[in-house]
Amino acid sequence: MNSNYLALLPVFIFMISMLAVSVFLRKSNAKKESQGFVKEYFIGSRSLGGFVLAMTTVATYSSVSSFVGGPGQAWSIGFGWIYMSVVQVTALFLVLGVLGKKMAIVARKIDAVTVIDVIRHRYQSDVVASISALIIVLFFSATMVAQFVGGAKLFEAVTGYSYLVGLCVFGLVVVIYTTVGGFRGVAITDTICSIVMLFGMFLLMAGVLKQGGGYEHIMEQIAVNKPEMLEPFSGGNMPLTLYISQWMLVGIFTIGLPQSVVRNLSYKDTKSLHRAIIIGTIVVGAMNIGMNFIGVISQGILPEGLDAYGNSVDNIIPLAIAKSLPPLLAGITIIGPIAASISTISSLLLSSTSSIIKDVYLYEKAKRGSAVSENRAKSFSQLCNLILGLAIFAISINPPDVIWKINMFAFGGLESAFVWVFLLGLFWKKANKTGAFWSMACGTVVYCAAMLFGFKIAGIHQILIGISVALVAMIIGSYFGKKTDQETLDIYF
Amino acid sequence: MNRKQKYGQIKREAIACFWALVAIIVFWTISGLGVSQLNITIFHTPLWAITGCIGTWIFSVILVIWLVKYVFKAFSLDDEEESPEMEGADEQ
Repeated sequence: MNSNYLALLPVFIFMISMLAVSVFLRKSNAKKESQGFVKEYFIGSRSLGGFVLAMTTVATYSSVSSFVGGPGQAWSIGFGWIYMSVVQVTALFLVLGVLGKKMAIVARKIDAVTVIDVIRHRYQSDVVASISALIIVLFFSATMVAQFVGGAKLFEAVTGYSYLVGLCVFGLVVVIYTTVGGFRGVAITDTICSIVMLFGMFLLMAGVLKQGGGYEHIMEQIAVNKPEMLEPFSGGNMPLTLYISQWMLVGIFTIGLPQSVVRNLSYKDTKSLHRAIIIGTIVVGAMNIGMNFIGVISQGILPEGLDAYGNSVDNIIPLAIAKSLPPLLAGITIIGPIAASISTISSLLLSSTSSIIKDVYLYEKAKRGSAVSENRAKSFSQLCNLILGLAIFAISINPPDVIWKINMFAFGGLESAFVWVFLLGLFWKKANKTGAFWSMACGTVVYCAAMLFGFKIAGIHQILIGISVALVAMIIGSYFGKKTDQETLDIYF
Repeated sequence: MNRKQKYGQIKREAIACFWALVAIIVFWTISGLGVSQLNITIFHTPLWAITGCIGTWIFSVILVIWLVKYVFKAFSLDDEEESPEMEGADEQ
C-alpha cells in the first residue's frame, strides 16, 4: 500500500475546508447568536431548509459502517445484502413524516432546544429527563469512539500512515469544528459530507468496475465461483430472520433515534420538511444500494476466500480502494467514509453536549433560581463540547473492551429506550410519566441483558425483545400511573 | 388552519406514513423474495435483485412524492394567534 503524501493530501484539504466553513458560518451568523446563544448553538435558530435538513439527517444516519462494514458483508453475502439494506429508505419519511410536525409545533410553543426538553415537558418529570440524558450521553459516546476507530483504521489501511496520524488528522479537526460551528456548522458540514460521500462512492464504483474487467466479466465470475451470492438467502448465509431483524433495527424503529428526532426541532417550515422527506429518501436509497453494490462487485478484484484478506470483512473496502485506484484518487475516495464518520461524530457530540449543558446544567441552575448569563452559557457550552470531544478522542487512541460492548448495544438500546416515549408521547393521550419511566428503564435494561446473554426469540434480533418490553411497560405504566395534567396535554393534543 | 385542524392533519399524515410503510414492506417482499422464484436473469443480474433493490427504492420515492403532494399539507408551525402574518406565507 502507498505511504505517500498524495493519499494524505485530499483528506487533509477536506478537513481544513470543513474547519473553514464552520468558522465562516459562525462569523456570519453572529447576529443570530446575540438573540439567543443556546438556541443558535444547539438548534441553528430553527432555520434549516429542506435540502440541508435531508442531508444532515442522512449524514448523521450513515456511519462509517455504511461505507466499510456493510459493503464488506455485501462482498461476502451478495445481492441479498443490498436487498436488506434498501429497507433503510423508510427511515426518513418515518422520522420526519410521523414525528416531524408535531415536534416542531410543540418545540416552538414550549421553547424546546433539545429532545429532552420535549420529553421533560410532555411527561412533567425530571427523573425521566435525567435518565434520557444519561442514556443519550452513554450510548452516543460509545458510538463516537467506534466512529473514530473505524475512520482511523480505514485511513491507516488505505494511506499506510499510522492509526494515530489518521485519528489526529480527522479526529481533532472534527472536535474543533463542531465546537466552533455549533448546530448550523454541523448541518452544513454534514451536507457537504453527504455530497462527498456520493462522489466518493461513484469514483470507487467506476474504479472497481474498471479494475475487475467490466460488469459483465465480474458477474460471470460470481456466477461460476459463488453462485449463492445471486440468491436472496445466499445459500443460508442470509436467513429470513436476519431480514426481519434488519427491517426492525435499521428500518422501522430508527424513528426513535434521538439524533434523528432532534432534527425535527431545527427546520424552518413545513415546506422544508416536505422537501427533506423526498430528497432524503432518494439519497438514502442511492447511498445504500450504491455502497453495497460496490461490495458485491469487489468480488471481481478480490475473488479469494476471507482468510486471504485478514479474516475480516472490514478489510474488503480498504483493499478495494487501494487495489482499484491510484494514490491520489484513493485519497479522494476515502474522504467518503471519513465524511460518513465525522458527520455522525459531529451530530452526536453536539447532542451530547446539549444534554449536559441544556438538560442538566442550565436546567438545574434555573430550578434553583440562579440566572446564568449569556456569556457564561456560551463559554460553558463550547468548553463542554471541546472537553467531551477530546475525551472521546483520547479514549479512541486505545479503546477498552467495554466501549465495544456499549457500542454494540447503542443502536438498539436507543431505539428500545425512545421509540415509544416519542411515538406514544405525541400520539397517545394516556401516555404518562410512569409509563415513560418504565418503558425507558425496562426497554433498555432488558434489551442490553438479552444482547449480553445472546437470548433471542424465534431467531430474531434482540431489538424485538427490547421494543416489545418497552411497549408493554409503557402501556401498563400509563394505565396505573397518574394522568398527565390537562394543561400539559392541551399542548400536545 | 387552527391548532385543532393542524393536529387532525398531523394525525392523518402519521397514519398515511404507516400505510406507506406497509405498502413498501409488501412491495419489497413481492419484488424481491417473490420475483426470485422466477429464476430470471437479465444483464447478467438476477431479476429479483433489480426489482427488489432498485425497484423498492423507486417505489418508495414515488410513494413519498405522492404522500407529500396529496396527503401532506403546508401550514404555519407557530400559533396563529401569536403571528397571524405567518399564515399567509405558508398557504401558497
